[in-house]
Amino acid sequence: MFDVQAAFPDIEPIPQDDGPHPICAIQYPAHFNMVMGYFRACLATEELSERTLRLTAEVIDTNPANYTAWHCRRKCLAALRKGLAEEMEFTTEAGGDNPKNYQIWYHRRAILDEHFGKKEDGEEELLYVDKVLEEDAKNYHAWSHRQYIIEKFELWDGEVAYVEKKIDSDIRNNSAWNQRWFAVHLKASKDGGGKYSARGEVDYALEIARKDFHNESPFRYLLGILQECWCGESKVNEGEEDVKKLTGEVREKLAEMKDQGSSHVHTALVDIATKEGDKEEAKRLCEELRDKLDVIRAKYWEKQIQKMGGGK
Amino acid sequence: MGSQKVKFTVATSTTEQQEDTEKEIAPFYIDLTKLTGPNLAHLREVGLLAEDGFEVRLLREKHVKYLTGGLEKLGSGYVSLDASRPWIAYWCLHGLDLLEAAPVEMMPRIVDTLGRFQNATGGFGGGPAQISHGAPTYASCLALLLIAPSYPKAYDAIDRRSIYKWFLSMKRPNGGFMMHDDGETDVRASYTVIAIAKLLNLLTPELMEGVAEYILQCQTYEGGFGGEPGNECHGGYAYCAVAALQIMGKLGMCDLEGLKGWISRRQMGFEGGFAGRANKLVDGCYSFWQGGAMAIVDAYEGDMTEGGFGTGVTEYVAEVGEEGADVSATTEAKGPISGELSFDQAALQRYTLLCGQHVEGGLRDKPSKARDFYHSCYSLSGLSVSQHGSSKDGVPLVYGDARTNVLKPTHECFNIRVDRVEKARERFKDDVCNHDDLIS
Repeated sequence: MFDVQAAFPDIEPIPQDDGPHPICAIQYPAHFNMVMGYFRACLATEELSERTLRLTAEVIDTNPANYTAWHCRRKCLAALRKGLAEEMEFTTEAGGDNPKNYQIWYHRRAILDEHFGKKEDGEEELLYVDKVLEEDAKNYHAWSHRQYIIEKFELWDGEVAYVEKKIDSDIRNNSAWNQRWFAVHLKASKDGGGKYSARGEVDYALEIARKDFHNESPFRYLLGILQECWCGESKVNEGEEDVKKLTGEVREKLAEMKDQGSSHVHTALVDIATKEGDKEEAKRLCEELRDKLDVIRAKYWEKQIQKMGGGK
Repeated sequence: MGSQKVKFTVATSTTEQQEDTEKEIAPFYIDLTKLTGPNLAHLREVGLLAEDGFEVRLLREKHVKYLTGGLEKLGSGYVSLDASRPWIAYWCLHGLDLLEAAPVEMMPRIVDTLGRFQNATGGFGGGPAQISHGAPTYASCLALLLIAPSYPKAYDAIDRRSIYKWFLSMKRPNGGFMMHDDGETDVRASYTVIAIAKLLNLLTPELMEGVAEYILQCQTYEGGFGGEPGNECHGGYAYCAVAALQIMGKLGMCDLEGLKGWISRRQMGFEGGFAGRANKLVDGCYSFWQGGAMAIVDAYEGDMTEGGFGTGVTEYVAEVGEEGADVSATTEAKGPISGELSFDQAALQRYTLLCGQHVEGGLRDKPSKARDFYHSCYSLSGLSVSQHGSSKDGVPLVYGDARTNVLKPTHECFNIRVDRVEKARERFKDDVCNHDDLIS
């Protein structure tokens, strides 16, 4: 336990300058006021010392969202050239099982940026992220941090396999689908000669889509890949003829799923029919979506139909 | 109104949570006209139903009381928001302003307190002696600008020049902005800078350089925007991206069709409210983040001026132009096609009024969650957007009791009232807005 008052005998704490009648006035507990009083004093003197570093830990313990304390902490660390494995441990402690606060995640990044460069450091950090994702498979910050690590430490090789495991355990984990997109594209740009196999991605998406026709994630992934093909993206490994063939095949396979009553199948078919200039079919599909399959979006579909020159 | 629950053939933790949420919501969507005896008496007593009908009501007075309380003393539990006090001020004040109840007598105190959060080096911190941060800067400026028409000293409290310099100092070579010195870079930062710069007439070409290009990298294959390039698209970040692009006049640079499709798919078939991401749950705060983003896109495309859905509103005016008309029934009769926005405005209002309101005042994510100031602000903001659409001078589309439910129109890009935005524009239009002069 760090005794704040004993550590700063020479420092006069600075009370919060809130004025006589502040709004949104939080009734601070005495301990909070004491810790913050010393912290403000350290900020005022710009003392970047061991004791200030320990004080920031106390401030963060009272309020982990105090970004000024994290900021000051990094300044102290830089001035003291501290052992940084320890700092990651501190941050893990401060974050708990399912951290959703910007400060904690940014701190990890800043520390990694400043001091780590070895692949093993990145791999170790991925283990931390794994743990968080086991707790909450859709933690937004964790996935974002994962992308940062994978890119920085060049760890994309195992990522598609990792994501497939995540999708296997919940085919509706849309964060995992997004991560697949990220991993496939990053790998292509780094060591795939800039290209990836659109057919491989299409096959995977269709395989998962068939398990549950009502799951939006694989359908949008599928369309994302096709759209990249249609735009003639240089990232795609398929030539123009292959793209036509692939699109036709996907359209056929989706058409086979049409009687499943899935709005996602229909929506995907609208996109493809529109692309292929099959206006009548696109309109018919939109009408079914508007009237039957997807009535909450009736207005959206009605507008699409009107754009195609129809509508009520 | 749509009422399609989730369908699935493979049960996963996602479908389980979704089913639980639908079960939680279902009791709120019973046919109110079939209520009798103590149930009906209870709903009338708490004020959720009119004494003389079955239209659901906005608990205006209770929300005013709850939000006014947020501006006064807060319990010790709020220390976790000690770096977000300007947010609390903004959430409460904007909610009150939509309810036409911003507390005039408190305005000198508001200016005094927020003034203490402003740093000489530019920008606002979350409290006194906290370093400047994009979010408190955004919230403080909005709070000041929304009270300023009633209390002009609030305009003078904002140091434009130092804010401009601070904004510039947060800019990164990739066109993004940091939230604070040595802080994270994401589209929240881009939006807070661009929105405040626009309101204060500081939106110079120098400040905007590369900003749209950074934001555009955040649009994903699904059509929405994530917080950083590569990240999953998400309602909060998508709003920031869309609003910032629109303010800069660059919304047309993104994939608009993809964007509209993604936002519209986020409205939940049974609940009527919005979720933040695909395969996630409904949450009242997305009423604004998603609903507001759609209103921006619709305004951009000028849908209402081209006829089509504008006509729905006109018909509605003719039918319920008189006070006390049965608005709810009218909305129902027209079905989800009414209103000019590209989502189901009536269904969203129904979710907000029936599932979002705490009977003691304040609004919430969903019925099983506690009320808070954040969800109150954004639920009310979403309600305002879905009432007024992207036209601000037409007659609103009101679900439930039109005598109690109409809010003031909020500006979909800034989320303060439209009249507050106009006043700010007037106030700052002649101030210096030239890079070289601003940094001199």
